[in-house]
Amino acid sequence: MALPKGMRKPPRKGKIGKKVAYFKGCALEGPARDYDASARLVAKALGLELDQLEDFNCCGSLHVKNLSFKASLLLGARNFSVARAQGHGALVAPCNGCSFALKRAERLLSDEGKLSELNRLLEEAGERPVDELPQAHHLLEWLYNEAGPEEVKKNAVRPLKGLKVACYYGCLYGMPRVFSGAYPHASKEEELAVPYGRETADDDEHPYYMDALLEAAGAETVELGPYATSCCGSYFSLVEPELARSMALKVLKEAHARGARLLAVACPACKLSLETALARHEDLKLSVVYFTQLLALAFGHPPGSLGLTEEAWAG
Amino acid sequence: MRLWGLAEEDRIVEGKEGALILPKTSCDCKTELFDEITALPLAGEALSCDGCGVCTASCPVAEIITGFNPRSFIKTLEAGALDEVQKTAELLWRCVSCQACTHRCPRGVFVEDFLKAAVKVLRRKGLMEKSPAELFDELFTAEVLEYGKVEPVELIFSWLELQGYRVVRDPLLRKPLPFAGEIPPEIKKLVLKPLKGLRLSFVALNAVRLLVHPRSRNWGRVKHVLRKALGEV
Amino acid sequence: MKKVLVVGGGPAGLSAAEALAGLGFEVYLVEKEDKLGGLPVKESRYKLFPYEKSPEELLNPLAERVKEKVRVFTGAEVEAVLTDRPPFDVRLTNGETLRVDALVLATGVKSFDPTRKGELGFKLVNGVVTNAQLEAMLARNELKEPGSVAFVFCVGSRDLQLGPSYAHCCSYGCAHAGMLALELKRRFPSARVYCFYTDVRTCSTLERRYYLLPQREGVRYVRGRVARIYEQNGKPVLKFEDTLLGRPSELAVDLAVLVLGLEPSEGTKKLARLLSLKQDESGFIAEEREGVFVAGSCKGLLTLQEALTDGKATALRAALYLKGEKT
Ligand SMILES: Cc1cc2nc3c(=O)[nH]c(=O)nc-3n(C[C@H](O)[C@H](O)[C@H](O)COP(=O)(O)OP(=O)(O)OC[C@H]3O[C@@H](n4cnc5c(N)ncnc54)[C@H](O)[C@@H]3O)c2cc1C
Ligand code: SF4
Ligand code: SF4
Repeated sequence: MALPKGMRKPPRKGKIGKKVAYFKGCALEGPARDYDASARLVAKALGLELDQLEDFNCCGSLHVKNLSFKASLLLGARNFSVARAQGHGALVAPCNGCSFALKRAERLLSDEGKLSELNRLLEEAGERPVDELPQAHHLLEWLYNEAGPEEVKKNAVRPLKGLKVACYYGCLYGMPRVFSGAYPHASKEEELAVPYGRETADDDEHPYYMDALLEAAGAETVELGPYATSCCGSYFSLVEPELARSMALKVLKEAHARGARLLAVACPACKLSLETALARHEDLKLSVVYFTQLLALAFGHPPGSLGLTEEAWAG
Repeated sequence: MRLWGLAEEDRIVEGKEGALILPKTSCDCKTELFDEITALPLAGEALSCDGCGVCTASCPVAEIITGFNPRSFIKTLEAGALDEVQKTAELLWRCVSCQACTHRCPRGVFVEDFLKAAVKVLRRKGLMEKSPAELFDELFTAEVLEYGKVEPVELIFSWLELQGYRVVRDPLLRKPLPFAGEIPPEIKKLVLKPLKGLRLSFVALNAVRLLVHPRSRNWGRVKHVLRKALGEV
Repeated sequence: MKKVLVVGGGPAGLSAAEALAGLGFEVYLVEKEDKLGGLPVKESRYKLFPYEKSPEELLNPLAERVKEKVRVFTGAEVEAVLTDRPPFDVRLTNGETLRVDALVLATGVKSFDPTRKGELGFKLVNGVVTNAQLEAMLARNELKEPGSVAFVFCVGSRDLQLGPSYAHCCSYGCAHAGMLALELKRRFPSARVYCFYTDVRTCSTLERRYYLLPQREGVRYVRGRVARIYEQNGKPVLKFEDTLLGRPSELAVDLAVLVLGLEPSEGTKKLARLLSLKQDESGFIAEEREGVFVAGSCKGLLTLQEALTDGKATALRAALYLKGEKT
């Protein structure tokens, strides 16, 4: 469930920066083009800047690390190198898999001696070593902190009145906290003791950034309870489709039972998994959309231009 | 050197001749298997596990697959009870890497990393068959190694082909043709979705991508170093 | 006559002060709160184990005896220690400055803030309360007969997810929960009462009264730590693994009671800083130095009984030091 309004923390402006390196990831270059387009529109409308990395490599997702720890860190280090070369101290990724992999790499590279070890590999590969580790964030964390509900409200020329949306965050958005830095309730003193505490991280157990933004855009959010962060099974969409489907179905059923029409997500892999399950369960009258599509819609962009099909939008 | 448990020479074994002999003791302070797993990166934190069950209670797979139980996997492997380990091997790979276990473990165990490390060691020791998950990891990693980037649609079709689906590829570039062949209906539906929404520009852009696989800069040299890293842990 | 300042008027501080005064020293005691008695009195408890008396019954007589023989400042704190070595010039927040030959620190502990463990639903899920809240309900006779109650052990104890300083055990929680669970079972015989534990640490003689007896009288102990509490149909649902069965499970109850851990109080951390005393990984005071003695829970968690005894023992150490110096 999303943290109730009275317990939420206001955005921490300036902690990440208005201009950041945009780590698009493989999916947004390809099938999740609509996510990319809407993310850009939203950032622009909110006076923020996504500076796309001119060159990047796959984050390694959850797969490369299973074969080799070192290789997974090398992929991360090269991405950080590219971001630094473009002069950035912060990277923003729109996908849970990417943000997980980048945060993980950031955290593990900050261990004693790790960065110099990986820098040697980068040099061997003819790449620029990383002078300073940039911080990795999820797109949603960035939008909430650098713009926040206030700005969204100001820009919502066509509020999403009467739209019932369930916000689905997925597992890797905030988990595990050792990588996401989500220690939202630690005191200042304790934050120091928790070495990777990140002020801009969402709540560790009851994330609310997406709810807050969509509420500000005029939508009515629907509570998903524990399913807001339970895994959609996308890791196994292909490998163990039955398992993945039963996991996705739990989320879909809950959203449906709570009366949602739309399920907003912040990750292309979640969308794929949820839609694959939906394709077999058309009785669940739900459409899965990116939260940025809904924001862009509220900002006045026509649904067609956002890649929102008629069935997703009307009905 | 571990100080608890019982060494093999201290074990009590009972049973009639010719019958299945199970040791009466389930723990062993010669823990080569566990030592080998916990020597892998991040997996070592499992030495701190107190068996509280928070990981299992947080695990979405445990809810669905009876017997999938991260806590018991850790403890079984720690005890080194080989008969139990064998049962574990059939289930272990079904972890979906959601990190809920690692997120909540009160002892700071990287549970998910431990499970993946365990798979690695069990495979190395021939105690486990190659799982579909490992096959997919390899497919994914091979594509990263080759290009630096992954093309999701191509990845999907390569996987389907590996699973025995008849994927039709164009004769020239050997690229999959999403609209031909026999693929699972829900996947076909997803691929066709943009067409239904008449987002032709979208379809066209994706088609181009399928033809020309995206590639990271300077990848030739990076590939070389990455391949070496892949050979290490 | 040698002078001693006792900082903190909880069980340990009170018993140290009483003993030192009895040994003939001039004793001052400074207590931050308006009332003496420490955590038990502040949290308005119902009953204290192993005495099974109310905090007032147990600690008021001690406080009264101390007030007779000791100069007590309530509602005041130590503001600064102006000298590095004995005799110490200590300035209090009420403007008083005292010169003393020794200090006894007994600044104790505070309860863990359960909103930090969001997964356990405190303030989010209807029917989730703390053990102190349950005690208050029992004390005021406000508790209506519940169908079922679950005690959730180790909330804010033994939990590295809260940070590296949370590895310690609270040392009172298991016995305390056992006592309350038994009480509930006796008051409401048809209620189902559960205790969710990782280990039950009812050491020494506490085992019989606060583990064995509750079990015998129908409290169900489940070996598994609660991972999550969420709301379903207006009730808390606990998610846990019954580790003895190896089965992930869910349980809906009327009342979920969080057994809160303890951590060093602000005063403990502040005095460690003022006197530059080493703290351990959890922030407890880990050393003494010339003229500075540490009593009770501020050096590591003790039960009330142990805190009372430790207060006396520390007083004796201080007395030997003070005598050895001059006489
Ligand atoms: C809900 C709950 C129930 C419990 N029930 C039991 C039980 O039944 N039986 C049992 O054995 N134990 C129980 N305990 C544990 C018990 O409370 C402790 O063992 C005991 O309080 C320790 O005593 P102490 O004197 O060391 O510290 P405290 O009781 O913490 O006393 C410290 C005192 O120092 C004061 N102080 C702090 N900082 C300063 C400062 N800077 N200047 C001046 N004064 C300061 C504080 O106000 C406080 O009065 C329970 C604890 C809790 C939370
Ligand atoms: S949560 Fe951690 S300590 Fe508890 S059983 Fe799982 S790995 Fe062990
Ligand atoms: S990472 Fe794997 S073992 Fe851990 S909770 Fe998720 S599915 Fe279960």
